[in-house]
Amino acid sequence: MNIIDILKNFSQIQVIDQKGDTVFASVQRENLAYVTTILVNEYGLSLSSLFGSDNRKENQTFGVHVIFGNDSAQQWLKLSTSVPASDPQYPSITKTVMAAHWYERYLQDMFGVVAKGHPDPRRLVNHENIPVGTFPLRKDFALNAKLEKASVPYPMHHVAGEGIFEIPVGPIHAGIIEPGHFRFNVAGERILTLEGKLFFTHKGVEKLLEGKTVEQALPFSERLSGDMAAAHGLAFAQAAEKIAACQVSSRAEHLRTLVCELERITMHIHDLANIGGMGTGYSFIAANGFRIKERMMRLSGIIFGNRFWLGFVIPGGVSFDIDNHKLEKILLISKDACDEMQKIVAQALASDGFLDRLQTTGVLPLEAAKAFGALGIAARGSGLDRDIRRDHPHGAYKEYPIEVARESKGDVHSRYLVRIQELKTSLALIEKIVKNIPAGEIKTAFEIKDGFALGAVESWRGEILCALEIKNGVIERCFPRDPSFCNWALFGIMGPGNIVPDFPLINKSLNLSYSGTDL
Amino acid sequence: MKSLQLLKILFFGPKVTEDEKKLRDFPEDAAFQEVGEQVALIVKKLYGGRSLRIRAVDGGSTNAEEIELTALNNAYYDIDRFGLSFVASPRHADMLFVTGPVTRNLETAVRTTYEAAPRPCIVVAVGDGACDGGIWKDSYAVVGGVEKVIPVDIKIPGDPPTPTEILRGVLHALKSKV
Repeated sequence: MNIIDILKNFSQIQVIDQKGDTVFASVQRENLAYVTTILVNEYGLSLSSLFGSDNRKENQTFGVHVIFGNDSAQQWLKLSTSVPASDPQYPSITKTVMAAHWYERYLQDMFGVVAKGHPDPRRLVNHENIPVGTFPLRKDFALNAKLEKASVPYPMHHVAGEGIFEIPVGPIHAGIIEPGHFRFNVAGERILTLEGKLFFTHKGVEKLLEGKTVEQALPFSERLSGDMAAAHGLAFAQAAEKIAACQVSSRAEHLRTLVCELERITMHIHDLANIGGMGTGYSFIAANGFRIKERMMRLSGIIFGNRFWLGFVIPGGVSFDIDNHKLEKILLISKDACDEMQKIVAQALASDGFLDRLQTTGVLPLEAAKAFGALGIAARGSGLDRDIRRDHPHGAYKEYPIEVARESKGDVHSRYLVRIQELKTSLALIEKIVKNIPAGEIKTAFEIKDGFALGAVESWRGEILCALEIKNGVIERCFPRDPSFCNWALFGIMGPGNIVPDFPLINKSLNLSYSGTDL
Repeated sequence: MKSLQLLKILFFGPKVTEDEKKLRDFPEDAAFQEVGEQVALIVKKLYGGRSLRIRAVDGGSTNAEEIELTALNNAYYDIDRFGLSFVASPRHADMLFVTGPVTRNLETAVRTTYEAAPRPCIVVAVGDGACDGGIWKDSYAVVGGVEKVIPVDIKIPGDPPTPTEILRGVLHALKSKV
């Protein structure tokens, strides 16, 4: 159903504008939670992002913007409300739509805009050391502000009772992984509650982006999460191109899709090896998988001059052309890698001990996946049928529709199978692109204008949604929402009932980005 | 049935070792091998024939550095053969790798990790962020390069540095201690 038709049923909502696939509308702050609930529950829209903006200079208000995805009509809705600076609050959406919970806590920390009645109004981004009343994304907060070292409590869930123990883990872990703190409350080996404390790697990227030109900002986007360089770069470039009304050439679109799929193959091989090998102790799978992944990273080295698919996607196209000889090489090496990995994985799946660890571990029920707004592998492993590549197709995905891989059990095994399936889909797609890539320009003249747009890309982790607003030729506000941001809270559902030693396995089965979440 | 299956896998299963030609296809591997052998010699001299233990700490990186550090363990690089290995606790470490521009939220973690390591402890800043704060150095949320928090022996620039560059950095760090 078209967004415009849906909105006709709401007298509270005013449609402001429609640009491309995005509809802009506004609503009074009292009605925001109500209409959001109806849009999500009755019309099946997904709450895909929520962020604030500081408009005090123009009209003494803060903006609160909710982005909805309307998959059936390939549209987005930006529903905005404004709250007066003198009374920065609005009725919480989280009370009725769970998917908003982290966004609203984030908004409270970064802008000081309070979601009144939020069931869990604790701090999220700001750790103990950040003084009360620090709102980094307000315009009067200086980028290089030197903050005092405060000691504000950062409470975490706690269960008390006879025989209940609490296990704190991190932020520094035993392995070579990113920093995050996890708090287990356990009875024996069984997990009762599990909560994460993140934002250790918070670098203030959103603030850093403000006032920068699109060209200056691109390196920051590519470095939001080191293993998603191509996907984050593309999401940002897409948003900028939509604003500039820049039509990228078909050849460039094909090459961009190619690099995203190569990134997916590299990281899916990594995850299959990491879950299968490091997660269960079946080191044969890890040793072989990491060896195969290294070949993919070297492929990136040969073609792009770096091992992380960096620096290729630029606003307006791609930075250089890849000739047919190199395209053939890409296909050859990735086909080799995928085929070999499938053989290794088949061997793992034939092992009863291996299946015993994966099956029924870390179950995410479909209802929970929907309620929390789970994305990517986590969502599809639980049977949620969502994939930006099909639902909001961009680039070459329009020409080569993909089949969305899905499993229904929601356990680690399901997520493993989804990855195996996606590895096949990606390879098939790469074959099609290499065979059918059209000739033509790779760069289109790109001149930025003022405006707002969304860039949506299905990275290997899941949906990236980059909200970008340009004013006077520079970035006014940019919120690049990493899929991990929506998936971290899922641990509260997946952990309990499992034993503590299964947590690393569950964690690897999601492989969420800390840096991408923490920004 | 199960044992038959096992035998089948053993004899007809997938080939699990890399073709040597494929493995040595890259000139950087020859360079890596050479640097590694030099490291092994110095480690022998410095640590009385024992090995060099490394503890990696993330001070706020993008995770690209972590991927490269993990890669040092894969079959192509396999730093264990040169007497280097990553350990789970700073208490077992001779060397600290710190990645990322140290963020405010990780400053304490980086400092306590350093304090927990026995002396002498060689500190290596891995990547542009760790060297001087990189592109994030102006931010309110970032303290800056690792040297703003703990003393640094050597910096390995790179965005991120490749496994070979990292090993070369280790070699330089060790050479300065001989």
